[in-house]
Amino acid sequence: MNHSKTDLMHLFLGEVEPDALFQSKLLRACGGIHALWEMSEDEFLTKTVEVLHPETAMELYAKRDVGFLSGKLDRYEQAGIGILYPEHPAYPAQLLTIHDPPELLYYKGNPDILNRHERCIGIVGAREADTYGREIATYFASNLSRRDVLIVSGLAKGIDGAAHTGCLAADGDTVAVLGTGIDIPSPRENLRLYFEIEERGLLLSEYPPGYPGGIYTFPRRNRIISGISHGVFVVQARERSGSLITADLALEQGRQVYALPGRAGDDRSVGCNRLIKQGALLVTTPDDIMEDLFGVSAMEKRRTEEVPADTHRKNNLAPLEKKVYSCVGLDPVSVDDIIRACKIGVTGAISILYRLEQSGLVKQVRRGWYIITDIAEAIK
Amino acid sequence: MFSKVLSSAVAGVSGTEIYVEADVSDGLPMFTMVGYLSSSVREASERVRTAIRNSGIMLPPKRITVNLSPADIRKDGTVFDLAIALSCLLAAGLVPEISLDRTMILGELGLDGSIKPVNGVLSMVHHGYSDGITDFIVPSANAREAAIVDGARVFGFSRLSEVLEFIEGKANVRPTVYEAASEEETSTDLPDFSEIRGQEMLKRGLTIAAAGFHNVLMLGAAGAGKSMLAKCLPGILPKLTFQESIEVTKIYSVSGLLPDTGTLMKNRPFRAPHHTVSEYALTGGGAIPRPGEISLAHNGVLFLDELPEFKKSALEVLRQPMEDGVIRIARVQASYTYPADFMLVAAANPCPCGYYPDRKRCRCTPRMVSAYQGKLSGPLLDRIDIRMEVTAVSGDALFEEASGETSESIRMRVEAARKRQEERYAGEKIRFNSQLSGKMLGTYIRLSDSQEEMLHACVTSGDLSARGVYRVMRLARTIADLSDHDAIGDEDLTEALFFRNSNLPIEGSVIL
Ligand SMILES: [Zn+2]
Repeated sequence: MNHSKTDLMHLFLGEVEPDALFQSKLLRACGGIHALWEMSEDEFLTKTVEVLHPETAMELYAKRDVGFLSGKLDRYEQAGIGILYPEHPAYPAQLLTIHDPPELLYYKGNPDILNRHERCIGIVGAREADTYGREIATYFASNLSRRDVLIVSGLAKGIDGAAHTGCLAADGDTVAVLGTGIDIPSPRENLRLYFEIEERGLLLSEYPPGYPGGIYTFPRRNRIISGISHGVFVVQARERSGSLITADLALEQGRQVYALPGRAGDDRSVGCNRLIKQGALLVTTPDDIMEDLFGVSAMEKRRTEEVPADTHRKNNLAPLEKKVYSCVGLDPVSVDDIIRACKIGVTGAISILYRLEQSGLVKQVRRGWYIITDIAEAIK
Repeated sequence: MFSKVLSSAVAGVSGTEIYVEADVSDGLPMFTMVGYLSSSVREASERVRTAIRNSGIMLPPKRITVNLSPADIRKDGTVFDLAIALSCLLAAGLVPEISLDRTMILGELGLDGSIKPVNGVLSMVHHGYSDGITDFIVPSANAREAAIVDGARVFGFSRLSEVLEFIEGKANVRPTVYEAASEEETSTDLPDFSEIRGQEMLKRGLTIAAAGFHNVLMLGAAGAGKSMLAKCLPGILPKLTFQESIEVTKIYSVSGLLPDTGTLMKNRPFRAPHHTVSEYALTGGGAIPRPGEISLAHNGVLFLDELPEFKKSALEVLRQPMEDGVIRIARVQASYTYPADFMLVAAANPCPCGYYPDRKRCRCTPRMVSAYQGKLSGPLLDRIDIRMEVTAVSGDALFEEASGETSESIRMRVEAARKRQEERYAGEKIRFNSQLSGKMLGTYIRLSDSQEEMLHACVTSGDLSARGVYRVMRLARTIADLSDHDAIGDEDLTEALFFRNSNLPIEGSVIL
C-alpha cells in the first residue's frame, strides 16, 4: 500500500526509544523531522553523535527504509492501529501546549473525536474506589458528555473505568490513554470496556504495539491525560497516588484541577481533600465544572441538554414504596437498614426493593445493598 | 464335631452376614483359622483361647479349625471374637447343643473374658433382622443401640461366662428394651438465632435454605459472623424422621462416633472440616473403610469455612456426591457406598487476609484479591442455590433489641414447609425442592405467564443463566412452601431472584 512520506518519517522516529523528551532531543540535533528523513547516513551519524551511540545510530539508520516502514504500517493498519503526530490534523491541539508533547501517538478507534469538542475533561481517581466514588464518576462523565464535553481517562479499574462507562452510556465521546502498547488490553477487569472504547471512542498510547507497561509508563501516560484536557477532576484519591501525580502535572501544564470533597479521615479521600486545601476547585455537581469551563452564561445555554429525571415513576409510588425509596441514597444501604428504618418485614422489604429496582429507581451494588439511580436528585 | 453360628460384618454402612464354622477333630493340638482374613481377625485365635481359659473352661488338646464364610468377603476387625469362641465351645461339646440358627452373635473378647463394644452394631442388627434373624447377642455397651431396631430381641452381655450361663439356661436374661434418650442427653449447645442481633436478611436466607435443603454460599469479611450463623442452622432444620435418624445413627455407629449412651441420633449433624482436610477424610475410604466427613454430614450440614482455602482436589471430589447423594468408593477388595446427602454451607472471605476492601487492615494486592475471588467459581458453585453477603452488624443495630424469633419458632415454619414437600413428592425419590431435577421441574412447578415473562426478561438481560432459571424456580417453590402458597406468588419469585446465587460483585471488585 502507498503511505504518505510524513507517515513514514514519523513512524521512523518511533523506532527510537518511545520517550518524547529523547525523541525531541534527536529531532533538534538533526534539525527537524524532514531533515532527519533526508540526510545521508554519514550526516546522521555526525549529527546524532551527542545523542546516540554510533552503533545504535547505525542500526537505526538501517531502518530508514521505505519498504520496511511501509510493511510495518501495513501491519498496523490491518490490526486497526493508526498513528498521530503533531503535524497530523487529528492530533489533539490542546496537547501541543505542554512542554513535552508526544512526537508519535498510536491509536485505535476514531481519532476525529479529539478535536470535535470545545472542551475536554480528564476524570481520574483511585483504582480501589468505593461504590459512591464510582457512581459519582459515572454520573459526572455521562452528564458532562451530554453537554458536549470530551471525557478522557486511563482505563484503570475503579474511577477510570466508571468514567468511561458513564460516558459510553450517554453516547458521549471518550478517550482512554493507555500506559502500555495500544494493542494490550488491560486491566483484565476492563477488557470489555477496552473493546467498547475501540469501537465507539478512542484508545491512545505513545507506546508502540506490544510494548509492555512499566512503573514509569503509567505516570508518563498521566501527562497525556491532563495534557489533552482543559481540566482534571479527581474523584477519590489516596495519599501518594497516581491521581495526585496527574493533578500535579495538570497544574504544571496550567490546567484547572477539580476535586470531589470527602469525609475527614476517609482513606480514599485524603488526596482530594488535600488538593482542595491547596487550591483545587471544590466540586459537588457537574454544573460546578461546567461553570468553570464555559462561564455562567454559556453553561446556562447548555443546560437544556440535561435529561429530565423520571419524576412520573417516582410520583406514582405507593406510600410504603415511597418510604423505602426515601431511605436509599448515594451510600449503599442494606436490606437490614431498610427493615429497621421502615419497620417492615424482610420479605416485604425485599419485594419493595425489587420493584424499585425493576422500575430503575434504585440499583443493587452488591447482594442486599442499594443506592439510588437518580444521582442528580441526590446531590442537588 | 462340627458347629456353625452366625455373626456379621459391615460393608459400607450396611451389615452383611458372616458364618463362623468350627471343627474339632483328633490330631496334633492346633488352632487354625481360614476364610480371607485380615491380620486382626487371625489374632482372634489368641484372644479367644485366652478368654475361654480365663472364663474357667479348658479347650481339649485337639485339632481345631475355624472357617469364616462367605469366602469372597474380606473379614476385618474384632467383631467375630464372640462368635468364634461360641462355635469352638459348641464343636468341642463344652456347652449344651442348642439351636443358634436364628441368633446373631457380635462382640470383641478381652483376654480376661470380658466382652467389649464394637462399631456398626446398629447396621448389623438392622440388616440381620430384615433377613429374618430374631435374636441378637451383643456387648452390653451396644445393647441400647441394637435395640433401636424395633422387634429385634437383643441380649446384652459384658462377660463370656454370662453368655454361657444364658445359653445353659442358668440365668434369666430379659431382652433389652430401647428407651429414647432423655431430654438432658439430647440437649445440645447449639447457638440460637434469637441470640443474633440484626442480620434479618441472612436469617431469612438461611430459613429458606433450611426449608428446601438448598446449598448456601455466604460471603463477607472475617469476623462478620459467618460461622456463627452457620452453626445456628441445625437448630432450624426439621427434626430427623425415624428413617433418617436410623441412617445417621448407622453412619455414626460404623464410624465409632456414637455417644456412649448408644441412643438414636435425633439432631441433624453439623460437620465443619478444616480447610486442610484431605480428600480421603472428606469422602471416606482408607485401608479400613470408614465414612468421611460428607457421610458424617448425611441428612445434615457440611460447613466449609473459607472455601477458597480448600485444596482444589478436595472440592473436586464433592461434585459427584452432590449430584447423587451417595459416595462410591472403589477398593481392591470391594467397593462401598456411603450415604452423603448433605446441605453444603460454604463461607468465603473477600481476600486471603479477610478484610478487603478495608485498606486500613488489608494489604493484599489486587492480583491476590482477584485470584482469591476467582476460586469461587466452577461446577461446585453451580450446585449452590442461595448466595448472601454478610456484613458485620453496624453499631446502630447492635444496641437494638434482637429480633426475638427463636430457632425453635423458625423451625416450626420450616417443618410446615417440609411437610408440604413430603406430600408433594410422596411418589418420588426426592424429599426436598432443592433435589428437583430439570425434568421434574415441569411437573411440579407451574409459573404464571407474567412470571415466565419476568424470568425471561432476566435471561434476556443476561442477568440469569439457563441453569440459573432452574435454581430460581426451585427456590421460589421453597419460599412459596414457607408461605403456605399452593401456587408460586409474584413475591415468592422476586424473593427467589433476590437470594439466588448470581455473580453480583463483592464490594470493591468490578468483575468477579
Ligand atoms: Zn486482604
